Amino acid sequence: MILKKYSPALVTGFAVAVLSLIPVFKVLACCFLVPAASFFALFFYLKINPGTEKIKFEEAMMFGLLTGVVAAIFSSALDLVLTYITRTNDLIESLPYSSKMLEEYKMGDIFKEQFKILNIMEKDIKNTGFSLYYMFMIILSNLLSFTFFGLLGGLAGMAILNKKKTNNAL
Amino acid sequence: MDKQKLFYFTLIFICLFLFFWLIGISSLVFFRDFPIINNLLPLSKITFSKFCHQNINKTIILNGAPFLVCSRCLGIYSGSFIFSILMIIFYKKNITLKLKWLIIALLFIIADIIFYNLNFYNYSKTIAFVTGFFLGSIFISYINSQIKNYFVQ
Repeated sequence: MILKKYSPALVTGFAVAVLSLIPVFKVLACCFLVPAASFFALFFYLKINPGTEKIKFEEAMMFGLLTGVVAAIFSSALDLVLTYITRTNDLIESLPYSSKMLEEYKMGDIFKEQFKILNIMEKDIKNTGFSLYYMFMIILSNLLSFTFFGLLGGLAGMAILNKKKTNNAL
Repeated sequence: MDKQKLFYFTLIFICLFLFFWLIGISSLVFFRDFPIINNLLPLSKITFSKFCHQNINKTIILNGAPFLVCSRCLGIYSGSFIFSILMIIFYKKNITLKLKWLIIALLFIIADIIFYNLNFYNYSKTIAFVTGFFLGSIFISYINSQIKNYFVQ
């Protein structure tokens, strides 16, 4: 029952995860796609349940949270699979550039340890296609950012859709 | 919990998130002497690379170090953060913002991108920051006014 109620969030969350792999959409993934996915999850929920009078605050939060979490899990999983297949990813490709940049700004010594970790990660990915550290980082990073933007989209969606419903009722 | 309090806590939550977000973005600039924040550099790098191209030529350099996102993104996040504080301070004031303002703010950014790509002028970090700041402030104010509408109704 609960799963059925929140199924739109699962669908839109998965859609974001897939879209976030496409280069053009990649950068937009969090700022625009995740909030939009939460909005559409609520929109589809209202379409499936036309009898719903208003979206409650708790429901909007739950939809936003779930969309964000689903998007984060699938996006991380797909990212890890692609990294495993290609043995590289955006982060690995940007590392030489970042390390050069830090040297340029004379911060190489300050971030020596951090770059050591990143270099181990790079080595693991290039050799085996998998790094436990990268997996932990990508899941944590996606969960943090996607859930926040999902919640934001849920709140905005609730306000917009409730307003629309009130206007239609008048 | 009554609706007024819930609304207030929602604003605080958004503001706090943006605060930590900005700490992450400016970790190289302001917090290079803080080992705890420095240790989070790999995580920050992974996180922000998802939001921004992080092109160093389009990044503001301050205190001898770059921010972890480009000038436009920095503008968006700082505008959102500053206005989220204002929203908390003036949460009792009834400020309503229409969608058209959000579209106008977006149009400024699109116009800037088109103009410098067509070589009307060179890429300017200041213009990128200002247009980003405008969008960020409008975006957070719009979200605030929409949420408030719900809580007031």
